[in-house]
Amino acid sequence: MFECYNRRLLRINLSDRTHSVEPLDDDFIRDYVGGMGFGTQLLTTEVPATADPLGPQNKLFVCVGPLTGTLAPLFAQTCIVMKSPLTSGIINTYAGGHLGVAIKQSGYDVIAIEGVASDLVYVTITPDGVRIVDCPELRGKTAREAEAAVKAATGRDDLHTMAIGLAGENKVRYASLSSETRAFGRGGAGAVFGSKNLKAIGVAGIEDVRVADPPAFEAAVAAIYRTLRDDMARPWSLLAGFSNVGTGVGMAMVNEKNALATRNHQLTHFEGASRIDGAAYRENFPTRPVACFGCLVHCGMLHKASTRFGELWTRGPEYETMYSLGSLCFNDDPEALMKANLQCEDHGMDTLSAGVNIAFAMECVERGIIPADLGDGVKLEFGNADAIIRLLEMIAHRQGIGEVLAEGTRRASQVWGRGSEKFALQVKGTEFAAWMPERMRGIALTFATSNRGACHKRAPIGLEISGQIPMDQIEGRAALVKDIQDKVNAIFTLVSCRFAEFAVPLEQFVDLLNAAAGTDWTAERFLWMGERLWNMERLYNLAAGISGEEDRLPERCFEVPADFPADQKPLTREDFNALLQDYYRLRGWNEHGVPTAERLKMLEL
Amino acid sequence: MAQQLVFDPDTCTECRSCEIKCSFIHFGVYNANKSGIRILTDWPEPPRARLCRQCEDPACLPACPVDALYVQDGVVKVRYDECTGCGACVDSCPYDGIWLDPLSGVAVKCDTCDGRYLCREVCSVAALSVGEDAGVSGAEPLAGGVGVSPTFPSSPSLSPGSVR
Repeated sequence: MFECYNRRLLRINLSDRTHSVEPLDDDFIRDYVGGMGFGTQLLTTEVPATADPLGPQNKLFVCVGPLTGTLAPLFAQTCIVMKSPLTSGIINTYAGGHLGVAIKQSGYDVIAIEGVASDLVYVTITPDGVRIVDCPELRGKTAREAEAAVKAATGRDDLHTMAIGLAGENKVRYASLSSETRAFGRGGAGAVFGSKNLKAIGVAGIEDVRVADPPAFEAAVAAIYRTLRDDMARPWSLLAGFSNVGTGVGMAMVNEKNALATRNHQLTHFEGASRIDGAAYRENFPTRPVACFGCLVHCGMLHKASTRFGELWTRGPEYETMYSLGSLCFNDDPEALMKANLQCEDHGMDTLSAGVNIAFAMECVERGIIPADLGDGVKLEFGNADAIIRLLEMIAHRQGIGEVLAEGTRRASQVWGRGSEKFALQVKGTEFAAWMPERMRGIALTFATSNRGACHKRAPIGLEISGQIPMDQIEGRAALVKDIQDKVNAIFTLVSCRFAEFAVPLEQFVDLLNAAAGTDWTAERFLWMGERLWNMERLYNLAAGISGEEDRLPERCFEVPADFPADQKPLTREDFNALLQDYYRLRGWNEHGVPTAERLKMLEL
Repeated sequence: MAQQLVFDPDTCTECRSCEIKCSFIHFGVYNANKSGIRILTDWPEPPRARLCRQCEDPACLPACPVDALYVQDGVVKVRYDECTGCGACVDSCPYDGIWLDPLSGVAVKCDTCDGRYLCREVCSVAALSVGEDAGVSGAEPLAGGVGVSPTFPSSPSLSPGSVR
């Protein structure tokens, strides 16, 4: 039993520069499964709910799962659980690529990072041991440069890495962790690294990855291969679209439905979208798909190009970035968007939060709240790509208005005032993802209620955008959202890629888990486990001071964009409140969004 | 002479499923170091693969001091129980086509899966093919669909030897 686990946690104390190994016992493994489950239990028990996310008490739990490193496709993700500098609540953030299998093979299921180093350091975890190394020479370097330096220093070409850039060092609240061609984008993991004086981590391992029941596991892997293949052969398959042009396939789809947030949500349709969507990049720039470990979808589009900014190569932009630094800022310049994507990769910033902050600032200029001049004749205004590129630098360096925007739109709107909080697109401090609550009720509810803020990962996007369920109706929507939130939590313990859920039924996830771990989960109990984790996060956030009052959307979402489709119903406060109360009831929470004793008992909390 | 596995760098997505399919078939575990094919990243350039060329006159065979390497149907194979991990075969190969698993110490290389080349089953872009000419793109996938056969084999051990 539990052959797929290493059953070990590596704890690294940056203050003392020590490390230790702790066993993970059977009860912990059985109850929390892996990934987000491990991380949530550890964070909620070890870090006080009121701790400062950028202070010494915060910890990062880097977690892999029972299926990490196996042949099961779409399980390459690594999960980091920590307190977010944006929300001050708990957050789980993910990156694909090849870091997860390296962690699994290094012999650990969890790497816990605590304390604060006295000077800038990097950490390496290899068969030769754990090293904490001073690296003053890496200060100010891009994430890519830092990752290359750490790899060169170990002399190992099997080392996989994650690193911060300048934004993390400067504790920009939405600084990300770049990991080779992927990133832990949301929530500010880069800032937490920066607050700990941690520049990078490199991991290499040589251990075998095993499963409890090899023939059963082979059969379950064959089954999921068939499921994915069948899905990708269908005419309207998101996964097939991803494998052809990347997540950017979504841009045209969403735009065509008048659901593409444009000009800080002033509009629902962007004329320039076809210049920056997935097909445009695939056709106009040299492109190569690169996959995460074991994945047959290969949605990662690596582009190389000679642009007016020089020779660039970057993986992306993703659909979400085509929104945040594209349509949201009224920018349809594909070269500039590629450059902006690379800046975020190099400086280590979440493209979503960065773009939403820039669009927010653009609207503040439009309304005369802040001046337009960024220096050197560059005017901050919608559609000016040069302004985007300039402002990204300013944010990473915390210069000029970059100092204010580095704190995130919520804090920026508090500083600049004058009603700007109405169009600051954030919930609980986390900036919006690339979807319009104005158009999609599931998005409206999940943005408002997700534990990590305005998050799209737990939304019935496929059903709504395809028209299988009407986007603007609330009937049954709360139940759908709760189900997806619980389900995605559950599969994020394995650690599944979000996209697997678009095609794979819950039973197949459970089959893989049982064959790998020797357990006897049912789909019902697995879903229950996801709901349990959701409530653990909720309780922690309540203790952190994030009340049900914050289960709400900014005013902008209740305004009707000028190009809103005539045959669709706009989002009303009545509808939103009805959705929210329905959701609370289904969740077994009171009218203020607090879990009742009865529900907690059912969840064994 | 056995046909070598041919790798198309322009098609490969670097998912490395081939590596762990191989290690699973041969050793019952997922471990790229126990795979007879290795994919090396070189962003932004296309990847390279380390693969045995199935030489007609292999340099590794005479290099082995304990006779742990042998030829069967034109394919060089490893007697894992006899291999001491000295690395002489690794040093002798002009193509970087054989290497040591650092965990168990044994030499690992492509043995063609008794002519079945099963890594192809999991290649979603048909970057792996069988034949003597290099650079064949759009190669024929295994029967049953693009790169996937209807069923995987049950986990046999195709080569003699034990997992350490």
